Amino acid sequence: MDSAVLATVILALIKIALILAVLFTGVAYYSLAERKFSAFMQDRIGPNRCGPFALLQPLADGVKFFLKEDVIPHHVDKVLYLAAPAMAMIPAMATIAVVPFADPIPAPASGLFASLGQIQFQLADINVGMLYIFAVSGLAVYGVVIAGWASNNKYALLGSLRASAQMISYELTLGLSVLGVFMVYETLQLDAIVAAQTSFISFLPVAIPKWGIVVQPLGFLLFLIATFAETSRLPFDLPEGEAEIVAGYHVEYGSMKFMLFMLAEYSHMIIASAVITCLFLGGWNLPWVDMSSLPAVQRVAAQLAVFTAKAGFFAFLFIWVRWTLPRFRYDQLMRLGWKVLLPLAIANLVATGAFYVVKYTVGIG
Amino acid sequence: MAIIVKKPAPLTFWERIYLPAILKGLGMTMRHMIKTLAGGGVTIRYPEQHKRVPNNYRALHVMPTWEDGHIKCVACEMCSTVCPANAITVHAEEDENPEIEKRAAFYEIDELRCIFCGFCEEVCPRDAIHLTKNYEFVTDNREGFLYGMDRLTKTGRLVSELEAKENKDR
Amino acid sequence: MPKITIDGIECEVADGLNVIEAAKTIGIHIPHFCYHPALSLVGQCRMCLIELDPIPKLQTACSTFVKDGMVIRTNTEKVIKARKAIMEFLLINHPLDCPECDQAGECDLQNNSFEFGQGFSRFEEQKRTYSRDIPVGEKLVRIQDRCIHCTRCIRFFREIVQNEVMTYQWRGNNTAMTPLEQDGRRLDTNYSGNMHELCPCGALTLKDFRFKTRPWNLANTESVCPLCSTGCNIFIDHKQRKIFRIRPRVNMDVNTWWICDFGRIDFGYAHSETRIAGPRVKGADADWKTALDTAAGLLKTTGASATAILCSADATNEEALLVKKLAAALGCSAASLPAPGVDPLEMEDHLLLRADKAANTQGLKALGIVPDPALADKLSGGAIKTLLLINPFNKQLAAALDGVRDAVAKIPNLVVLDHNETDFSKAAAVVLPGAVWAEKNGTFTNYKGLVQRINQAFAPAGKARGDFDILLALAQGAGADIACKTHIDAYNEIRDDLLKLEAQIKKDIEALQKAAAEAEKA
Ligand code: SF4
Ligand code: SF4
Ligand code: SF4
Ligand code: SF4
Ligand code: FES
Repeated sequence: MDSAVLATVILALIKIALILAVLFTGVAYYSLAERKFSAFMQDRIGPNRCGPFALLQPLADGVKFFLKEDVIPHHVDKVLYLAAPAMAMIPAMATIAVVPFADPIPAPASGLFASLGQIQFQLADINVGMLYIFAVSGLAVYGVVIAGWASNNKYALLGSLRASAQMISYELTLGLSVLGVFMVYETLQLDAIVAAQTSFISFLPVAIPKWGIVVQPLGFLLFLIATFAETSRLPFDLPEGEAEIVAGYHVEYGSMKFMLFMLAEYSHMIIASAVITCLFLGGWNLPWVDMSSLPAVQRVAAQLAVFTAKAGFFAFLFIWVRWTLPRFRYDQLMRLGWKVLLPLAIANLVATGAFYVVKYTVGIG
Repeated sequence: MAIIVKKPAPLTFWERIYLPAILKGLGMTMRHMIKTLAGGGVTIRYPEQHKRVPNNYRALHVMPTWEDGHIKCVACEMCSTVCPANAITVHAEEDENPEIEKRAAFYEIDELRCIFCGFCEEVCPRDAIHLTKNYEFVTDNREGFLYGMDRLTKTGRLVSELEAKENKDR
Repeated sequence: MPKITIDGIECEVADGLNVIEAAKTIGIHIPHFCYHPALSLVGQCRMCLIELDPIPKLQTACSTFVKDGMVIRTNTEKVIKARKAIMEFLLINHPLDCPECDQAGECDLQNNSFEFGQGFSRFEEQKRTYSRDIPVGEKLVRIQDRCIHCTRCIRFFREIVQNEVMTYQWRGNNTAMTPLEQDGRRLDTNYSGNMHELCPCGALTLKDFRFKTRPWNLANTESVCPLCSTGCNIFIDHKQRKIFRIRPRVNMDVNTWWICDFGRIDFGYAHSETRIAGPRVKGADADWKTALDTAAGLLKTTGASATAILCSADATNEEALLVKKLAAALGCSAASLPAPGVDPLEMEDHLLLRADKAANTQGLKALGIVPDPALADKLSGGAIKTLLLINPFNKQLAAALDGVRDAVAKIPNLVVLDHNETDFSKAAAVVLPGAVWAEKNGTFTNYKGLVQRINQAFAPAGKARGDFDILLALAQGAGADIACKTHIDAYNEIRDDLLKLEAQIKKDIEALQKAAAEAEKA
């Protein structure tokens, strides 16, 4: 085999292993963080039994899930019932393939990877990155819907119906709100978007970094809200509901299968945080700080730290909002999606488009 | 008479976009989080700390005995009669001492059935059953909650001992 | 019929009643201790005080008999105060140890104190106590401290038992009711147990029931004593499918207020170790279906002349009907064996006990199941090859079978239906565990033809079944077509026979009494 192909494959495998390891650990500790922060916000301590600061708690939870009896109710559609957790999990993990974490570093001069020229901190640098994310994460709803259907349970079915209606409604806003960003940076490729955000807005007297959040504040807000809905986090957690539909689409699931749903939900949030960081917060770059002059290793470390901090803030925001807001009623949810967010997203798009029409015809900026 | 329901004033623009209210809420939770992190939690860290329970707290029973160790209970079955949870079983027998005449041959409280109403303590004419403040008697099997006479005369932790513990933790 | 006014209610009551009974007829309760309708009047406890116009002093209701125009008041302030005073007075020396006392829960003293007394006493001195060492026999427990000196016990033993064994000892405050066991006077009479109900407090209680349980824990089922042909009316007091005691149930036609101590105490066989645990075929445990099928099959094998049914007179009338139907289906005879020389009317003592130690001799007679003198010979001669033996545990049947014990045990197709093990059940080819009387529904016909219902207190112990159901299955297995599927149906079928018998016996008894009276005159 061509050594370049071989190197690519091996590198990809290493990256997959690394990313999944980080993602799973992240999910595990994200769940712990959720429990801890929610406790703090409610004047409690939260878990504190397993290890120092309950750091072993996720491990204990995992072990517990593993040891639980793997029950398959007799009334379910076996094949779909077993497939659904995987169908929820796979899109969640697949989306992270196109998310970049730092600038590429030059490949070592010799050895297997020399032929690659540079090593990217991204699994797949495809030029339709964002489209890919929309496409794949849109599949996640199938896991939920199929789980509800296969469970052969009224409550589960109701939960999954809610989930699908909600996701369809908010996917529109999600897609439209981000179009403005593409117009501004004129690319769909995530690392290119990040790179574009290092520049400054030129026609203003003070230099303001050209972050998505600055040039597209409404788009950012809409994207953020839609993301909450897409990940079915509070205040949009209607697919679940102890009071009215027992638990929701996963009412018939237990042990590892249930854990997969939880993993998927938390992975979604982590990836959403990463994507928001890339689109609106300048990715791993800090304005006015030039990290490119640092030696490769330090630079990557610094960039990863910045990226993690930014994404971490959004991850925290998910928790923060969840433990602050009550949930919407279903009609409120639908009204908000269709009658408020969608028009706003279209307006934002039109306004951005108009701005560029004016800009190019008049030639300012 | 008609009741005049006052309609709430229509929401202003800022109220209608919710965002300020949301931000206010976020601020509130953040304040609490910071307060807790600074050591202001309100929970009692139970296995290490103990809540000071009120003196009329009702938990595990104890059966007092006379100084010579003779059980005070005369098996009158008042407690088993009054018990709303049917948690008490009593069987009587003749006591050798004609002054005492009757004593419990078998006495058992099923603490899993007990609802800790304290009626048994209240009804007992011989002051032979008490509810202590000892609420720490979990076990992992049902038999462990069947307290017979032998255990009831011994296992009730003395109130003073409990108070010492509470004071230490506070 | 005197017209009187009690508490402003005008009423007409029967002649010769005292005020307590007269008030009772209109639902007014006058508290009392020493008065008992069966005993002579002593007017001793003073609890029954009432106001009687125009007499200024309070009168005792028990010893005041109604007269036309009497105006009685039972709830005036004066009466209420007097009752309080009497209660306080009675409790001066009373130990008030209700927690230890077996009477608690059905104690007149407790009830009256609760209802008419006051919650405190002004008596601060030492209470008087008595020694507990005086022997009082095997049936009663005497705790003299609790006695309130109503003398019901003295009068009961003198007037009802006619064995004057209780008497006063000491005087005044120290008076004690003491048994004087001498000159053939024993406290253990056939009726001593009645003191359990009669003593208004916990001074005399039943040893057999002592500390067993509290009376309020017991369910009470109305029944009839099965131990002799008198058929005393009883309550079966039971809890968790176990009899704890038997109490008399007032029936002025049969036992009045009393029962004998055999009926009161001898119910142990209902829960004995020797209760037959389950059906057996040839000595091996079997299920009910096999046992019933085998039994029904056996009964048909040897032909009518070599087959017999022998039934004790403890069977209810309804069971007897099924026995008769089974016999008809098999073409054989159904009989009871007479105890040597037992006449159902013969008394064993002056009060209740009768010589006939079976509950339903008259009922069996009414249905044509009568002693068959030839059967004993047939049994000993080996002419009977198949025998259905019902309840040989009954003392009377056992005694009658005494002479043919070995012969019966050798009968090849012996089917025994009984509740307790006997030599016969041990030798039987098929054993069918039946029920004791407390586990049955049905009727008994007593010595004078009175048909009395017994009610099931609890389900038959263990695998046992009701005799009625077993006999029904056997009769159906033998090919009989039986319309009466329940004891109620069966009773309706035989009611006319039983009533006819009752009238007949009444006539007989009257004739006997007339003859006796004439003999006496002559
Ligand atoms: S504990 Fe008290 S109330 Fe219960 S049986 Fe004993 S003496 Fe009676
Ligand atoms: S506390 Fe109440 S429920 Fe518990 S044993 Fe006593 S009477 Fe029964
Ligand atoms: S005799 Fe009656 S009042 Fe006296 S101790 Fe016994 S139950 Fe109580
Ligand atoms: S022993 Fe009972 S019946 Fe006899 S006098 Fe005393 S209280 Fe009355
Ligand atoms: S009942 Fe009348 S004086 Fe005792």
